[in-house]
Amino acid sequence: MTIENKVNNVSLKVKDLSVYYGAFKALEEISMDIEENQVTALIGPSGCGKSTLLRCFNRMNDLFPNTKIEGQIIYDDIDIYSQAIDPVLIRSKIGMVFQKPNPFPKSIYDNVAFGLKINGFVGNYDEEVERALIQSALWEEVKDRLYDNAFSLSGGQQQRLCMARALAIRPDVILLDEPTSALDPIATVKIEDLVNVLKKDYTIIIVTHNMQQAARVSDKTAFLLSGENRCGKLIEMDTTEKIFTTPSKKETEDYITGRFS
Amino acid sequence: MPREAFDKALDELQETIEKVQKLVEKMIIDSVKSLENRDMDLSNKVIEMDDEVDKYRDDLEQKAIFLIASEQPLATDLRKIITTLRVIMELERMGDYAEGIAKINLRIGETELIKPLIDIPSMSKKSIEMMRNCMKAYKNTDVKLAESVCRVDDEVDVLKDRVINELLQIMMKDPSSSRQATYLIFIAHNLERIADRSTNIAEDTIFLATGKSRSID
Repeated sequence: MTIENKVNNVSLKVKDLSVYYGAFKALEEISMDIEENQVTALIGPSGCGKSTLLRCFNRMNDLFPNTKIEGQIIYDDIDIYSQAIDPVLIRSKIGMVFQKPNPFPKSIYDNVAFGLKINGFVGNYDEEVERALIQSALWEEVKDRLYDNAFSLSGGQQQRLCMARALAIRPDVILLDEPTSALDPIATVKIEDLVNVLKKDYTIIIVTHNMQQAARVSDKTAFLLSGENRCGKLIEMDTTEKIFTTPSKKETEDYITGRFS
Repeated sequence: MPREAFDKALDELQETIEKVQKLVEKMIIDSVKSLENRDMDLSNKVIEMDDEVDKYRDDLEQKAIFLIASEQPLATDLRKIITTLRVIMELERMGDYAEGIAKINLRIGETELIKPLIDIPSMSKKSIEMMRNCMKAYKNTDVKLAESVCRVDDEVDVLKDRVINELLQIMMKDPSSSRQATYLIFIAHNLERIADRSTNIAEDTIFLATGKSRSID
């Protein structure tokens, strides 16, 4: 493998993005390009703002009170923070999977069909549910028990069900917030394999604390760090290979080699 | 500073490298000395030392592999371990060449040499100088010194060519000298290869410093 600086189409363009929770500035002037059909990893110590940044991509921060956003995130030539934009529509295009598997207390089938229903999908539900479960590599394990409660699945299966739920509504981008931190190594490998397969069709952004996972699954890596004022900044973004072998900034080297004090 | 245990383990790898360097240096010096002095006992000692070098190499390899598995090093840490593995391999091969010189000396046996040794001891001296400097460059991650070490390699090559030419002439004049002359050519070849291995260590140093593999001409 050689270091390539291949230029891909930009899926999401972040321009001078700052985020405030009340008077507290959580992120300061972040600018980055998220490339299409690539996996971008966001890394950094706890509290550096990487999850805040991830939530900005589908306006999940809107759900927190007193949140203020400055700057822009351009998706499909529009600023997703412009007033005319419906956040629900954004979330249907930019789906999210969380740290802990959070299936609904419903059947496996209904979990996957849920997003389709609330988006008013009229069509063949069975086909769409099957497609999403195949895409999330869960179909073979659940095809004979689609009407069992989702809680009967293992943690790793529940997380892939959450992936299926996100995939059912055919998003362009998938946001993964530490998707394997609650899973065992075998379930983790399945999710990572899935990410590798899904990037052919989707743009993926993943927040992870696991350096080796970021190195394994992502094409680009962004390192965020908060300073004394606890405000998160983008220190360095580059190809994953560059970041994990010869990063340009000392802070990045210190963090990834665990010499961060 | 976090990762103290890991840093200590990295230092221990370095200490092993330094021990092996001293051993190999002694092997090279003694192998040529045994040739000059027709000292079969010293040749045998050099051959025994090679087992010690191999043991250190095996031990370091195991430790380095376990460190990669347990610590999952990245960036400079990873390059440090990879470079350690490369350097120990180069040193071990240098030891093999010295052992080879000692074995050739045993084959020549206790007969007199067909010519006084001048260029071969010079080659040995220059090879050792190269080895010391490249190991210093490696220890201090000194790219400039690493690059300068390699210039001496050309001088060693010139000496080797001179030794071969001289021995060819001796063989042409007196075919009965062919056996020993061929052995001495092998020795010159071994010393030249020792110098080449120092060049490799210099290249490893550049990799350690920059992450780029580069061959020095």
